[in-house]
Amino acid sequence: MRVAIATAQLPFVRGGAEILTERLLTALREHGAEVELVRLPVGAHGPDRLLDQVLAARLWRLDGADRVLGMKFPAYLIPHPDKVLWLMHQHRAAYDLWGDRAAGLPDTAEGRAVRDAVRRADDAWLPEARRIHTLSPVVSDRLRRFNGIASIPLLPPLADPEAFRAGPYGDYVFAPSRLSPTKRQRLLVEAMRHVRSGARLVLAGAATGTAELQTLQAMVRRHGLADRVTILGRWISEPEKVELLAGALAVAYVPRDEDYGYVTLEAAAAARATITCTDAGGPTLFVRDGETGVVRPPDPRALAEAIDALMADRREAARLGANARDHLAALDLRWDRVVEELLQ
Amino acid sequence: MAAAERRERAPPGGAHPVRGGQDSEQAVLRAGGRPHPGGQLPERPLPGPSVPDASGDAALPGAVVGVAHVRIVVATTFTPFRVADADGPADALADACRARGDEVDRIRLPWSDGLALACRLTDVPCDRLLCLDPSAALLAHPAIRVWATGAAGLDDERVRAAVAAAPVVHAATDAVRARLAAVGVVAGLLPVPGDRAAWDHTAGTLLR
Repeated sequence: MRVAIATAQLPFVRGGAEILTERLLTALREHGAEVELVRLPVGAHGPDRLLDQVLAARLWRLDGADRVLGMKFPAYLIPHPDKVLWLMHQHRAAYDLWGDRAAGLPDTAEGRAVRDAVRRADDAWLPEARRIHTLSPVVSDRLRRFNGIASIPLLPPLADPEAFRAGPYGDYVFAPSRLSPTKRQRLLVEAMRHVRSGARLVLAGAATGTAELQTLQAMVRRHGLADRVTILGRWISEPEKVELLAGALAVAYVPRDEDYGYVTLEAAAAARATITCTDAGGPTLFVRDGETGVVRPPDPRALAEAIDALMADRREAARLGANARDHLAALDLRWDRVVEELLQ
Repeated sequence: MAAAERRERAPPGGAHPVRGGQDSEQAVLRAGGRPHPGGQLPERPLPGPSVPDASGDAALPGAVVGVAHVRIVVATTFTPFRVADADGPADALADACRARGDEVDRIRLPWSDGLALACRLTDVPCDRLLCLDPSAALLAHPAIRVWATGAAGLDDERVRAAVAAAPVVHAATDAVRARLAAVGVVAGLLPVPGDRAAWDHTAGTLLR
């Protein structure tokens, strides 16, 4: 079977979605499929260019494929008679992030028109797919709420669960994620102003553009946190991430309404508790407060108290981390099952 | 494989079993405040280099001067599930650019009947776009360089126009150079290198 994975590529940007796509490619090949990864280039999603990108997606053809697996916006809109979607997310600026200027669509006549056209495009062309899977219940819920389209969540396993290991519980909270306003690293830096214990914060991730990195660095300087907050403003290697996870006190992951959140699974694989927020979306599907991590409102003081509590009681940090690892194992997420679902 | 041959394998008129077509696409996408009269696509500004040129020193459009870190995209077209001739040199060139300390990404455009229009609608945010086959030059960019490692695509008038519009065009072989000359494009000869040091030189030539 010839399978084409259709996804979108914003040049020079790499994150969890790219890792997931590459892992899917490997899993499909292991299953015996002939696979082509088709990454359709998209520029920045400015309001004046967004609909051009959607139209371009409708113009590409993958006629040589027996099946197309559509993943990222707008690539999942590519026409094909045998298409199954594994939807990572829609264009969120036109949906749940509407009204958030940083997401890219302004509340102007043009912005509203573009938003409506993106929604019409999804309404019209998503149902062309034979079946729609999503990354998580969060994505399925949005699809149902905004477009009235039913879908089946299919949770992605970690790319390489065996790579992770658990070391001693150290004195830093580790926050690996692309540096972005929606990932809310600022909330964590803000929380560090209120941390009373000796806990440190390590942020690691590349920024899309330099603005967010500079903002975070400026916050650290302004609040005199340079000796307690480390920012690795780059894409860290997998071995580096494994090491930083293995020695962390816990993981902090506080995005707003995240689709899924590989970070939470990675933390669990390394037997680390995840500190997250009530409005974090995907992570709250895994993290149960007091069982596999800590869930607090998106408030710097509340997060600071959670960090201080774990710092004061490493045995609690270890207990939550072990529970998280057991919970992940119980979910039994496996790539062979993902492949079977997608090729069914 | 020539573009004309590839087109023969496509259904007549680019028909596709999925409902729709460009007209219905435009109906769905038409944003209220910005109609496209007569189905024409609006003119768009080309994405520019994100790193400003040193004024006056740049002999060529998009020349990158005095900048250590350059964002380079190496682009090719391909027919899915077939090995593309340009992929080998493209990957080697990307490696050579990385070895020079630049940030590099690869773009592979699936060959489609709608390739020209889809490219017209696509921005590639980078400082330098290196296209290793003529069809990839359909991705218009002010700092585009064409290094034609083959002649496929030159039967298409739009591809010829895109290549002719590039400020610098190289050909990997005398045969490709002759094909380009036959369609009125003057190209320098830049053979595919055989060793690592030569790749560095080739990357340097393309980034000049």
